Formats: sequence, structure tokens, C-alpha cells
Amino acid sequence: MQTMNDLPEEMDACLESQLEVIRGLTYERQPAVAEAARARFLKEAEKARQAYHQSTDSINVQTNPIAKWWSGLGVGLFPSLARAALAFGVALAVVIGGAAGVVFASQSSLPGDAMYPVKLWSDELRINLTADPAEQLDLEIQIAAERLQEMQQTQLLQNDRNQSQPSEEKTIPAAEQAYSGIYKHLDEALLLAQQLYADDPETLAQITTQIEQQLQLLEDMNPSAIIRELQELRKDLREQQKELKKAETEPTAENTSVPLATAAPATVESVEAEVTTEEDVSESEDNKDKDKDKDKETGKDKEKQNNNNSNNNSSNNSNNNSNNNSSNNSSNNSSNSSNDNKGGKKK
Amino acid sequence: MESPSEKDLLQGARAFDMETLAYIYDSYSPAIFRYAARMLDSTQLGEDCVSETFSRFLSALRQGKGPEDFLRAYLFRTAHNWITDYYRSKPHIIQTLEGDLTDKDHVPLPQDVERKLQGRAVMNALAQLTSDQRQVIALRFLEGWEIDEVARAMEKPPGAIKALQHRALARLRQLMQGEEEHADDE
Repeated sequence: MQTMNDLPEEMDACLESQLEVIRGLTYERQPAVAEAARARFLKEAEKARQAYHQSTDSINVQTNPIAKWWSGLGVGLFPSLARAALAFGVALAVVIGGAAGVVFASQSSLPGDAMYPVKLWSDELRINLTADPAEQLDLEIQIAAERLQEMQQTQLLQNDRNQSQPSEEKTIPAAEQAYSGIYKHLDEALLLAQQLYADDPETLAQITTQIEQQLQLLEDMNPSAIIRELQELRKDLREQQKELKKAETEPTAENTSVPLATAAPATVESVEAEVTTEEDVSESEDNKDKDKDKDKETGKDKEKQNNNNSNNNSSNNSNNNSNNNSSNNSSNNSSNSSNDNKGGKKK
Repeated sequence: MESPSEKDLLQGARAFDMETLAYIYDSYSPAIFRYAARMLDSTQLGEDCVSETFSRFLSALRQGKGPEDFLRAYLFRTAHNWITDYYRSKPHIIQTLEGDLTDKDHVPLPQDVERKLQGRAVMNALAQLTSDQRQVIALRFLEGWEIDEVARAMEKPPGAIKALQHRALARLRQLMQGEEEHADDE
């Protein structure tokens, strides 16, 4: 076992001793089983080797068809350069010749759709093409919220489909893709915030706690609350940037950093209004879906039950969790939720 | 004797040099077994994970895929993906720790039983982390890897690993405290 010289400070003795217990657990391999597994691997490897040598002609290792073609054209001297040029040319042609259409068409796709990876890729590109770190941060948060919304939509679709055919095998890994996307973007948002507010530790701490709270919520699976919080965070950050820019143009202002807390209460009301309308829309969509399935009365009841269960679960979570400043997505509780939100902000 | 670099090993592996492939298996499978057996608390599943990891490695090589370098990080990533799939198909596997204790094929030593019961709380807490968090904890603190290698295994920037580690430890502590309070109640 290696020694760990760069232990983080939050790694206290208690936790360390607990992990030591697991480290002490030994799992003995049974020699016969291990030996059999090794033999199986070598057999499989041997098969792969034979297949490999059949396909590669065994005389000349350089039988890559592209390499042959290029050497025929007299560019064999710089094969990697030539291949790079070819790749670049093809990429350029693809980009110009209609990728824009593909990307556009992908924007409404959901996890599990054929176009979904294109959407992920174009979002990635959008972030990379943004020069201003503040805008990048905004995009990261926006995209994380989009991923969450997609996940919710897929779950709704899935509830519908489950009655007719089991499509879980396809949609679950896809939803997982969206899920890890949320993590990725929020993690990147954290990093960006660290760079952006390096000389303003107070604001940085506030942003960090907020994003981390959302990540915590994500673990407790309460998507609608997170989407709401993320939108709010974006508004706060934009206000912040506006103030900063104003301060830059007016050099007389002494204090350039505007604490996030002062900007927050002003936006809370409007965000809440936005949120309730969003919820109304999604609810009416729900109803539409249910109308469609009128002929499947029994299935509908089941689905209702499921929905109730999941609502209960999420509300339990928010009650148990001390730093959870959100509510579940039923609109009956929206008045409670506003109180919760304000309570959370003050911390 | 100095051990060959991961890059050299992978070059040999891509040419399906049997000696290299056997060397790779012998050098990396024990660690993968230990990692998987711990994570799934079962020697049987540990063996399954080793087989599947190396089988996936071979088929990646056959398709001309697989890594150019950092073989260990790649193999652990593959193993971890398998473990995650397993967790997902059987969500509460870790909670039934007794399963392994009453294993017909192997009779555990008494001190092993005690240690396992001690470890139970920790394993339960670990099982409640997200897959990424669990992986960071396992690689950093059980396998003793550096941040950079964990970052390669998980294909994330080192900063993200630090953030994940921070959250994982905070959550773990929270869970362990909950566990203690729970025990006090009883």
C-alpha cells in the first residue's frame, strides 16, 4: 500500500480509521478459480491473435488501406501529416456541408434518440467557443439545467411506454448519459467559478455552496427543485457581472465586488413566478398524455400511484436534508417552497 | 528487473503478442480482483469482474480501440463500469453483507467476521454515494492513487476529481454520523 502524502484536510482521523477497516478486509482468491480464469483469458487472447493475423496479411505490417493510398500518391513521407490533412479536410467539408442542419435538428432530441449525442457535442462546442469565462460559467449552468429537464422528460415518456413495452434497456443508459452530463457541467462550473472569482473569496464561497447544494440535491434525485435553483443562480450571476462591468466603467466606485446575497432577494420573486408557469405547462402536458391513454384505464392508475410515490419520496428527502432549500414539484406546496428558498438564502 | 512501461505493454498488446498479454493479465488482475471484491463484497463477483474487464480489453484491442497509454487507469475504468452496471441491476447488494459470510464454499475466520461487521457501516455508507464518488474514494483511499491517475481513470480533469473527493468525504462523514446516531437510538 502506498503512503498518501497529500491527504486532504477534511480527511479526519475518524473517517480514516473507518476506511482503514475496509482496507483491512482481505478477499482470498481461490487458486483454482483464478487459474481457470487466467486460462480462459489466454485462450480468448489466442483467438484474437489469430483473427488479427488473418486480417493483417502477416507479410507487411503497414497494410492500412489509407496509408497505402497515400503512399501511392507520393505523400508517404509524412503519413501522419497527410492523414491529419485528410481528416481536417473531411471535417471541414462535413461542417460546412450541412452539419448545421444536423445540429439544429438535434436540439429537441432526448436521451435515447439517435440525435442526442449530436446535441451533447454541440453543447460542448458552444462552451468551447465562448471566450468570456463569465459567459462560459453561465452556459455550463444552463446546460446542466437542460440535461436535467431532458432527464425528467425521458422519465415521463418512459412511464407512458412501460405500459406497452419494456424499453428500459435503451432509455436507462441514455438517461445515465444525461445524468453524468449534469455532473460534468456543474463540476466545470465550479472550476470556472474558482478562476473567475479567485480574488473575491466571499462570492466564490457563496457560488460554490450553491452549486454543491445542487449536486447534493441531485444525489437525492429532486430534479425540478434543482432546475429552479440553477435558473436562479444564473440570474444572480448575471446581475453580478453587470454590476462588475458597471463598476469598471465608473472607476470612482471603491468596492467593485457586489456580494451575491444583496442581489439575490430582488430576483427571487420573479423567478418564482416563472417557475409556477413552467409547472403549469408541464402539468397540462401530463394531462394531455393521460387523455391519450384513456383506453388504458388500469395502467393509468398504476402510473398515478407511481407519481404519488415519487412525490412522497422527494418530499421526505427535502425534509430530512438540513441544507436542502427546495421543495417537491407539486404546486400545492409552492407557498411553502418560497419560504424554504428564502430561508436557505440567508444561510 | 525494471518493469516495462505501460506504453510498451500496450504496443505489444495491440500486436497480440501472447507473452505481453499474459504479463498484463498477471500484473493487473490481482489488483482489479481486490478492488472489485471490495466494492462488491464478494470473491465470486470479484472474479466475474476480472474476467469481464479483460474480455472487454481484448475486444477493444480487436477493434483497434483501447488506450495508447495509462493501461492501469484504463483497466480500472473498465472494471468500475462493470461494477456500476452491477450495482444498478441489483441496487441493494451491499446491504446484505451476510451473504458472503454464509458462503458455502468458504468458511470465514472469526476475526474476519468481526472485521466485516465493523466494515459493514462503512460499506453501507459507500453504497449510498454516487458511482463517481465511490470510485474516487476507492481509488484514492483504498488503492492509494494520486489525483492525476484517478483523473485519467475517470476521464475527468483533476480539479473535478478534487471537487468530487471533497463532496464524497463530506457525504461519507454525514452518513457515518447518521449511522452512529442510529446505533445510539437502538
